[in-house]
Amino acid sequence: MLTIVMALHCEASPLISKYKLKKVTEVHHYQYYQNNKINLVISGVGKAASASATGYSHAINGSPPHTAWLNIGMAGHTDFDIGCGFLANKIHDRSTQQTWFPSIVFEPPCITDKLLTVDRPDSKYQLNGGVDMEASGFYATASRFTTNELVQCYKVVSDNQRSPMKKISTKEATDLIQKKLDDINFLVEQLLNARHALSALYESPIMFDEICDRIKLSHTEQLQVKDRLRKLYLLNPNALTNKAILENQSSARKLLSTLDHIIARQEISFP
Amino acid sequence: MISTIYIENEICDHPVTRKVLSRFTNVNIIECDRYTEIFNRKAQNFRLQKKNPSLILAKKHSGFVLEAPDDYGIEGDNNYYFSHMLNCIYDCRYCFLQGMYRSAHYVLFVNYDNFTEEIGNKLKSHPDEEAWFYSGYDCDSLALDPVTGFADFILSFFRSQPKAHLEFRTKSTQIRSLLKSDPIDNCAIAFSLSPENITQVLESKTPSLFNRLDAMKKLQQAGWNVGIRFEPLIYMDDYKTHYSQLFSTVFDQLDADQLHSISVGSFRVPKGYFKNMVKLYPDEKLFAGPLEESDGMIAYRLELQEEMLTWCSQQITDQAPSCHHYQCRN
Repeated sequence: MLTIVMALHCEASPLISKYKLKKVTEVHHYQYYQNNKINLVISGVGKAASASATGYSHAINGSPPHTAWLNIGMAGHTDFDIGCGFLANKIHDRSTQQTWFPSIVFEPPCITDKLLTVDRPDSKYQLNGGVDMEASGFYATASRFTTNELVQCYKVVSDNQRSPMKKISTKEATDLIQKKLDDINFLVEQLLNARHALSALYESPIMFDEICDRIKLSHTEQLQVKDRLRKLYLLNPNALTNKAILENQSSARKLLSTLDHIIARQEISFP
Repeated sequence: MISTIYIENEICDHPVTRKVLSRFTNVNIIECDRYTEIFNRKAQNFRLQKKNPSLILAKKHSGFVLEAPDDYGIEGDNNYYFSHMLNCIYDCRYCFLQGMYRSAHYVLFVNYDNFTEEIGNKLKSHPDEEAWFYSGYDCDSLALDPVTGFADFILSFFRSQPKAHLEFRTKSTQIRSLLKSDPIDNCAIAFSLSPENITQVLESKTPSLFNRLDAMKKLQQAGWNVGIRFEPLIYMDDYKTHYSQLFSTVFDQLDADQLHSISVGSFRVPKGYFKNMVKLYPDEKLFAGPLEESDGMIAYRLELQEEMLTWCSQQITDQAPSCHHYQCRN
């Protein structure tokens, strides 16, 4: 799954439409939307709200490993044009002075730049970069749950030194995000693909579930059996289609011994 | 291709930093306080990062020159290694670096002077003895040389230190700077070679055997000392066929009498690193082989190791009898 965290519903509405996300009515504490690949939570404004919505989303999804996370929202910028989208390559929290460096492992669809997270709206544009109110809270929390490469922050410039901050209407906010759906969709696809590639590596090996149905295994034995099945599959993928391996296996010990024996007989070759 | 360069604030204006940056156009420059903020961070995935690694320019503060592990050196008692870089542009599946570091980004330490200063200090501690210095332990010595220019720099130091011996360990064909300069007796360029099937399957992004041999021939012809490292030996049921082909090709192409040295060494990795490697690459066949733990190291079963080392050593002795040849067991 990919979880998108956004501060305001008006920013999120283009994504809700594009991905046909349905409101999850069982979740009462946040506005929460979902399809079979994406969760979207409306966090409210500020880093504390963003951090808390991120943690909440992780918990209600059963804290799965290898989740992907994307924070999307509006930001001020010293000199980028209004409507310009950028991916954060450095996030600095002004009040705590903490810094994070998101690891971007794909060719981004947009400019990357540094991002300063502030506690209150800031119209001074002192930093040569972007300014927002959520990224540090989101990033600090999401990067506890998964690898850094799967956590990204994408911002669309809503104001800059030439056109300083003013109250933005909900329609303006929606339009700013709507116009960047191509960039956003690229990021969504990249994160989903990377997450999928990572998760696929750690799926249970073939035959493991069948073995668990037949033989009671302790946690350690489960790890040992998985390790042997993985090795056997790598050396000879066809070996695991032979169900005869499972016959007469009365205990984990006997099964492990059988698997070791079969592994030792496999040919070692590199094409 | 490097698209992002992190630079420590302290060395933004360092001449090496400026020189390195001049080699790139259209890169994102990101400033940081210390490279460890990026490189040593928890929750990074080496495998994902390896798809698009960044370069980090940093200053090294200590540990410039370290004692080499036992049996690492060719000869003599005074063996040291140094690493002006961490990580490698290649992606060899057997490499311990992927189990040692959390990050796949390349770190280049730009304060080259401190390396030569420390090598000088080590030499002063052995005033009447020779000493060997190995480059390429935590990186490939030459692979990024067109960007770093480190080979030129370090050679200019060793040129005036006849009792100090330098070895570049590499798989790279980036030898232009070496060919442009006069060879020196106290430097060897040691190439790691594997059978072609192993190069194709386990040494991703490296030059082919053909290209490596071509670079070695050019260096030999230019008068440089060239060494061969048949390391790590990888076990296959038909390893004799593959290694036999490799030895024939190599000794057909190169002048064995002129080789500086040849070593063989089996695949071996500290247990902790190996665990990380398997976690990153559970789909890697190499790790499903006949490996076992002994004294905190993961290696092929002892009898297989001995068999391969003995057989390969004999083949080498038969084909290059006059060349200095040793086994690396640690």
